[in-house]
Amino acid sequence: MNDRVDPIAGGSDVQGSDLVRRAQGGDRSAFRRLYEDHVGRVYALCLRLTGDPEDAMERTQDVFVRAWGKLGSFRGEAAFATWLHRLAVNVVLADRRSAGRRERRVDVAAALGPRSQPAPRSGLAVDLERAIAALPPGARAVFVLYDVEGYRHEEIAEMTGIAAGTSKAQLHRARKLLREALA
Amino acid sequence: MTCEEVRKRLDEWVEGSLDERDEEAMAAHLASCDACRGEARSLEALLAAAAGLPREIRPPRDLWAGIDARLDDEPAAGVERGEAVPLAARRRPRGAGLPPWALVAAALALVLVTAAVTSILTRNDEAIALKLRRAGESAPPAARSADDREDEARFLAASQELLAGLEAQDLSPETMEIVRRNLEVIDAAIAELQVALERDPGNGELTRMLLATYQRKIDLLEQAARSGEG
Amino acid sequence: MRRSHRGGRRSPGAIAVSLAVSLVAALGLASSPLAAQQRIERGLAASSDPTIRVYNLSGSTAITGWDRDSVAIVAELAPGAGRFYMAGHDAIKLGVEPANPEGTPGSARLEIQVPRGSVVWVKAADASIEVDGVEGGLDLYSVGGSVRVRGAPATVRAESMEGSISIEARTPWLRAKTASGSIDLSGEASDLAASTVSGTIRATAARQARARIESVTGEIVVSGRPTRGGAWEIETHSGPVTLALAPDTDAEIEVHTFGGEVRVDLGRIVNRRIDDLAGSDWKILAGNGGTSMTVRTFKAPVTIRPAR
Repeated sequence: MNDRVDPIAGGSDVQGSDLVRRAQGGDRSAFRRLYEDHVGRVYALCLRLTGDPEDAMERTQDVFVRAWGKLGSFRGEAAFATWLHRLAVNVVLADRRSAGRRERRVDVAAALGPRSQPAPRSGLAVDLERAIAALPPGARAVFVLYDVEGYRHEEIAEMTGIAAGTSKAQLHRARKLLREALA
Repeated sequence: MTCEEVRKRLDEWVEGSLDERDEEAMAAHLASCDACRGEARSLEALLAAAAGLPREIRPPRDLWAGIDARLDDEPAAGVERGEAVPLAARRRPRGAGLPPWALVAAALALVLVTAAVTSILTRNDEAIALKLRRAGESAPPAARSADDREDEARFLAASQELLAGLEAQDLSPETMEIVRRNLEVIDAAIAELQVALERDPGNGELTRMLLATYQRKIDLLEQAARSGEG
Repeated sequence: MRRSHRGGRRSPGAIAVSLAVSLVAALGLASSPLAAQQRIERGLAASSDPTIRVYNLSGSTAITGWDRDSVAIVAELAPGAGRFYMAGHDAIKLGVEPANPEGTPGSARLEIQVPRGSVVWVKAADASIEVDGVEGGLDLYSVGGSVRVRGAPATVRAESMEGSISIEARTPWLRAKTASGSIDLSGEASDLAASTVSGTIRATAARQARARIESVTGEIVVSGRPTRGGAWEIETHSGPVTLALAPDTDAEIEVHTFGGEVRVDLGRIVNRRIDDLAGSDWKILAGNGGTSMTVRTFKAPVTIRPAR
């Protein structure tokens, strides 16, 4: 487990697990509360892994739909946030179908104007986010999972199906490309 | 340690996972080598920046409605499910929920952005632009926000600009011929879809197919443009 | 998806070879455009995973991965083909520069051995491209030439306007695109998208995970036993679609068509709705389900039958 996954925002553990239990029983409004609590984390992950806001929003929806269906198998061994996070990684990485269109849809978002893009933060952060989005998919996934989200290489290997050694190599490549892009 | 070795092992050094002997060798090299020290600094800065990225980002739109609608197709949570996906649970077609011509607007604005155009783009596009505009105008006023009107303006501007100010790319005559032939095929398909849409204007699936076919047209043009690049 | 890293130390001998090659190239002692048919053999030291860009417009390019940190090439240039060049170490550029940029490129046959971990980018006009045993990413572009990939590359992007594309490789990520060329997918891909306007696409269902196949008028044939848990999306305007599946296939198949005729000789029709205006929607259950296949056509006929 990594220590970078924050506890559920805006709710105590007791309240959180109560929501989960109710959602597991089919309580849609409880699930909606879970959505509100966690969508920020999920979307941030999807956005960085896909590099494209439209794609990330679709993936985010996929994640929550999948979570609803899989809630039955969540037994509370780990924090719900951790479980959801892993599920999000699986959904995004296993679902790269639109990767070919991805770089073009970045252009669409730009062409349609600022209303479809998240509000810019500080200049440096935006540069880094853009540089991450421009990485090749394998390197980007590993960089986001390792350096942004804090997973270990063994965990990344398990989640993505690549070897831990490949994960290290991809990380090295990603860091190199990013430094070049930001120099 | 040589500079090359240092560069290779900077990752480990920054994470503190070198053994004592290597760590000393690394530190000694970095103390005396400006170039490698610069590399180490930029790596540290990168990792600090990455760690400082926001952990949460709110999506630009509220996504709950889309999720809620799809939950209808899933069995209630808590029911044990096997691998099989129930027939009802299916991804909705891409672009569902967006007004049709926002999507086509995006497609055409895209062609403009990528500048992957040749003089072969036919007059059909202007006709299509007009038809979609009329279709958009006949939508109930409540459905059309200021954003939609902005998209419309952009859409028409983009298509006008494409049709008026195209520059011929330096493609071989053989390539041009292939593109021309295949564009004809695509335009014929687009025309058929338009006719069908006229008979059934509200049909989301037809609209989506039209968009997808338009996307194929753009793909083809981009592919042609790529073949002309060095 | 394994990458072998042999370390980047260059031996003095390799450095000497590399310098010699650079010198030769710099002095322009490579093939002269007016020479007769030429055979050129070159070697270049490289890292274990270089990025290699290959330009050969006409003729054929065959690239094979090997376990050395070097690039070796045998080039046969037809008269007037152009000038051969090769240089680099981590980023290598090689190919045949046409003697006359305006005219027809002369033909050149390139046989290239590259480090297994290479990332390879190839550009051709009507030259064919063949890659085997390369494990980095592949980007292969031709206009009229065929493209063929074998082995286990990390990613594959193959595009040809008119040439045929044949991917027999095992890869996590595959994008194949033609305008009128045929596409044959007999390998294995976890994430595959194949797209054409008027070419024929044939894909084996076995061992593919997520697949998107689309055409405008080109025929689409998917055959075999779909991998469990996979998801297929097949979309065409008017290209006939055939799913020729193993009789014991487990799949849920959805068909949506506006004007196409649907024939089902496999599995059980669970739901069917036919509407004059909106076309027809079908849900077919084969075996125990588990793989989803969705077919959308405007007016193309759809046939779902057992593989012969």
